[in-house]
Amino acid sequence: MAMDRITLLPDHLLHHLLCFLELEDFARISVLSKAWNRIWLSASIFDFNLHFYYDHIEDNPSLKSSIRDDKIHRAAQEEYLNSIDESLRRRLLLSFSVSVVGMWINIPTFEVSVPFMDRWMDTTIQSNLQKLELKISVDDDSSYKYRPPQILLSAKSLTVLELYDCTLDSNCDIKLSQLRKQDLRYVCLLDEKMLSNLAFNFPLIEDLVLRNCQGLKNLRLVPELSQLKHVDIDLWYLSNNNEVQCIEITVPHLCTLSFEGRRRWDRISFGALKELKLREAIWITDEKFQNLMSNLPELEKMTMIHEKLSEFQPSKLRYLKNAFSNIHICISSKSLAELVSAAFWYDTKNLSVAWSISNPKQVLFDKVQQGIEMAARSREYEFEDSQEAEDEMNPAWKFFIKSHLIALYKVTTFRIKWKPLEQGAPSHKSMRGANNFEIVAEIHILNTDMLKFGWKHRHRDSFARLTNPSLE
Amino acid sequence: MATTTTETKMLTLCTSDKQQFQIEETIALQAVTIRNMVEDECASNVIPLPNVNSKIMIQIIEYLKKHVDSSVSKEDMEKFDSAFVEKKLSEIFDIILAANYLNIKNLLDICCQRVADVMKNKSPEWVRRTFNIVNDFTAEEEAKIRKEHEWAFEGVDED
Repeated sequence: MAMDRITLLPDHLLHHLLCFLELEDFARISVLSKAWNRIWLSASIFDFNLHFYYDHIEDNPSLKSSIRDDKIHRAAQEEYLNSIDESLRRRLLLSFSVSVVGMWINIPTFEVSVPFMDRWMDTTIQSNLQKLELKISVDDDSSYKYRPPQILLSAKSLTVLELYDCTLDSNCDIKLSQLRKQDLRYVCLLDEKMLSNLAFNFPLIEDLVLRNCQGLKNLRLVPELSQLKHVDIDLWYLSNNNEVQCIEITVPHLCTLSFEGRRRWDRISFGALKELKLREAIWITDEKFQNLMSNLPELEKMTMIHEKLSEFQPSKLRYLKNAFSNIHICISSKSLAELVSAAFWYDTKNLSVAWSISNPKQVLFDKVQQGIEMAARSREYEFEDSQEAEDEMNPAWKFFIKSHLIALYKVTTFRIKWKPLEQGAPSHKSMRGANNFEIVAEIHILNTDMLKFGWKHRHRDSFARLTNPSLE
Repeated sequence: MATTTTETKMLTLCTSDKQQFQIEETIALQAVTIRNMVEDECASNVIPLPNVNSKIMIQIIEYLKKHVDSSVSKEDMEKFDSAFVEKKLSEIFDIILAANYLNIKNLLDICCQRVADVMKNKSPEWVRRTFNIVNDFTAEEEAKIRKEHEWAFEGVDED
């Protein structure tokens, strides 16, 4: 009989291999043999999401027909949660540590799942949990947000904490002494003082993400946060930007800063910044902008996202174009026509443009087609004699759309790059014939599949590119 | 006229079956284990690799030679990788062990991905047959574990 090579692999290699399995495949290996059951039990990554619950219902006609029946529905949920609970409990009983927990939870009946979640938090943190991703999707009509237990907010072993759609109330005492990365999205902060002393809350923090956190009043990133390298602040979807009373970013070693929102800065100082991303920064005057830029000697990349590029006074773009030839500039707008003309006007290889689409679900064939027609018109406007080039380009676009039509429903960013084949910037002349340059079109696909398979797709950026087929 | 070609530094690797392979240092250094040996100056003329046989070494060198070439596009590299792992499973396991020993992360990952792809959406019976795994559970034990993960057994491919 042929040899069982796979079971003979060392445990650490088998664990590594398991990371590549999707969750359902991963669960099935528990039944292969005793050795595999042990491997499965000792995997330190515990990743599940309750979307499976819905798949479970879909596959089960008797459950599906009774979905309106609350009692049965509830019993099915409990059964499902119990099975997860059991496998987690057994893992911990065997004193295998669980170092990474990912939870994506979307169950309408919160009172069923909350006690389970509290218990899971409690047990995993006691087993030296290092990384927690907790993402809770709430049904639109529900205003409930999960309140993580205090034990989570003072977990000594935790290095990465990602919370989506939770509430931190005024009784919380946050002290995460080992935390390196903190990512809070749509988290409701009920106490205005909660994050006012970050150096105390997270002394070792390197990477801080605060996106659309209701109740954020004072944001003070001070020099005491000596490890802080990356900051991503988004106030964009907050109902009232004026709610924020103070924004102070004085971190000398900060490498990247992404700031989205209309709120102005009160105090800034980050001379070592390498990457700066601003969204809708229409509040910055020309003078302030020039002052800001001239104090960033290390800057390598600058990204500006605007619904209408024209709102971000062209004078700033002109200033950038003239004063900073070495910085990679990315501009993004909802208007493809604006982008196309800016790209031609800017005329440098350091520029990339991105067409931003706010609601990916609405991105349909027509919309993209429309955008492309706009782009084509814009080209025509820029170059009176480019009819020939336009004709040659359209098949490329058409091919591109056709081959990605299915994926388009998930598009979040539609990025177009003009990449001259010849050395140097695209000149008027090289633009004339499509054969002289290639168009690289990338679509970045929102990983909605990730909701289903929290495992594998996380490491994988869906990415598609196309070069002008006429070049081949 | 002065010659502009600089001499390429070569390394000699000696496999478990005493075969010697002369390869350019830049190619070999992609393997972190070899890089550490060279950096720590433990390696004299010949680097012994007692955990890798020549048959596997040939394939690993093929992989390293491709990956050292920075002119290859991301797309072409992916194409190469997916063609590279189209091998018998027994060979894949040999490469996994060697890649782990030599510490070549991407090679290890693409091989693990290949094994994971084989298991994808397959019933436990199919996986056991394919990998020659002996089921040492009693029928009762197996039924109990299956019950716990009922959701994972729905919709697997037909054998």
